[in-house]
Amino acid sequence: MLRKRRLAGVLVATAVLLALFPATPAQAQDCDFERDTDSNGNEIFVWTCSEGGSGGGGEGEQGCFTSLGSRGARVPCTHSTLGWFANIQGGCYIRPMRPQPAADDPRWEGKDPADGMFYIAHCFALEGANGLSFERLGTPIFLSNQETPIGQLLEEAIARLPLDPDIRLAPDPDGVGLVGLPVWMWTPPNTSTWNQAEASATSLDTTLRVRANGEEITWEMGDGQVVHCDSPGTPYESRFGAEESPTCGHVYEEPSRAQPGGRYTITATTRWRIDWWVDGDITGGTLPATRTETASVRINELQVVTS
Amino acid sequence: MASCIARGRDRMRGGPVTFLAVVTMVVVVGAAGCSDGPDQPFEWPDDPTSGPVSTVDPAEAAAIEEILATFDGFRRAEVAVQADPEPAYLALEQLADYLADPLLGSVLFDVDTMHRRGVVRAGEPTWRPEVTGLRLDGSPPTATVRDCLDTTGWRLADRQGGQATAESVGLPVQFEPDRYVMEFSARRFDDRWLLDEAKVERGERC
Repeated sequence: MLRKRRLAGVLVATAVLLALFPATPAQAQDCDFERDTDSNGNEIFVWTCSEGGSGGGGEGEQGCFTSLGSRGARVPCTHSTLGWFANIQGGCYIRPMRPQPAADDPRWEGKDPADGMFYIAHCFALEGANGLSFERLGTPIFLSNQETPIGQLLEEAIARLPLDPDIRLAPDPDGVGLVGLPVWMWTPPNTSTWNQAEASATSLDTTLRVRANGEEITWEMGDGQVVHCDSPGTPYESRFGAEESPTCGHVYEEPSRAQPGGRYTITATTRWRIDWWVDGDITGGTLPATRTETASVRINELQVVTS
Repeated sequence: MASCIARGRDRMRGGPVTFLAVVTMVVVVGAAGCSDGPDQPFEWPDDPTSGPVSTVDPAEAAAIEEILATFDGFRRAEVAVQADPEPAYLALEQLADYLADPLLGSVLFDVDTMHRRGVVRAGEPTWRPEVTGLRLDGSPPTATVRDCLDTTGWRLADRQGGQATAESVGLPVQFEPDRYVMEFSARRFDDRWLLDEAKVERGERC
């Protein structure tokens, strides 16, 4: 489809000017669409607006404007399901795709989920007989967070979450463990380490909210073993003696003397599930966030002296 | 069976999916056979439970069952949201367990349009899906679902019970009473199957 090919070109464009969150958003009720048919007999939808004028494209004080050939026209800056107007390829509405493609989806090839998101773009075209036609089914495109205010808002909100791991070990890092005796791993559950945490970021009338919940801590124990724990773990108390942790633990089979500094380096990576949304809008989704902290432990061999 | 699945996969790769779904209810389902290709008349098996898919390995059978359950859930949710259309952000929760973008956005667009224009869809449609393509070794796994949709018992009306037509309220032609074939693509997202694209197979009756 011609439009899709043109969109593909957009992906390599160096400058994508977006006109989101305009200073004076146009009122959605000023514009509406009607069903129509293009020259090929395909069903299209045509925007018509009751007021406003033509413009050179992009954001303006009176609202948002397309820039298709000489047919620039005012359109609503936001739509309840199509998302926000962006001055891509003459004018498109973009909305973060939900859900985002799975991690193993080839559409991610060459793209880093930490840098941006896939959006569904509904773009205007010139085929409309009495107005601006737009595509019925959106096209997925990838845009970096810095290219879209919604991506910037998401980064800002996540940055406000108090995610800060705090791992604990038994034996304490100042102490010494023994081969064959259990090591307990845990984190005190609070909003920084595991429990639900919330934050938000606002730009003009749009408030984006995020909610984080701990999902897993991956403990790389330094001896080649990796322990996955789907809970914050159980704090060790002296009354537990030499029992194994009921939730998250490990037993070393070799002493740590051959390790750098004579200690095993433990790397704990906490993964949170981040749910995000915009109130009163279908925009939202989920994404992971991770933070890593390290500690070390000394493990000696148990030596038995007999006479 | 292998060739059947292969044809389904090829068909899913063919041409851009251009249109969205709109509709339905009733159950049916079951695994079934496949068509002879896009140029052949599409025929539904007499007994949808006795098709060749019944011989697939357990992983494929489980996937087909999950996909058809997702499809059935989507149709039921669609009937519910169109019986009492709400703003898109409220209808979202009823559909997000079954649909992914871009299809999700298209279905929400229609529901939102119905809400704003004061129309509902009364009655019930019938649907008859079958999985005609399945690629479990893909990244991610994908599938094709063909559906025979009958909307003759599922009609637009205004909120006062008066008649409304798709054209009069600016909704797609799929909102007009008819019976036709639709083809969907399904895609595995982490631990679940979601329908992400749909189109009407123009000219194919069922």
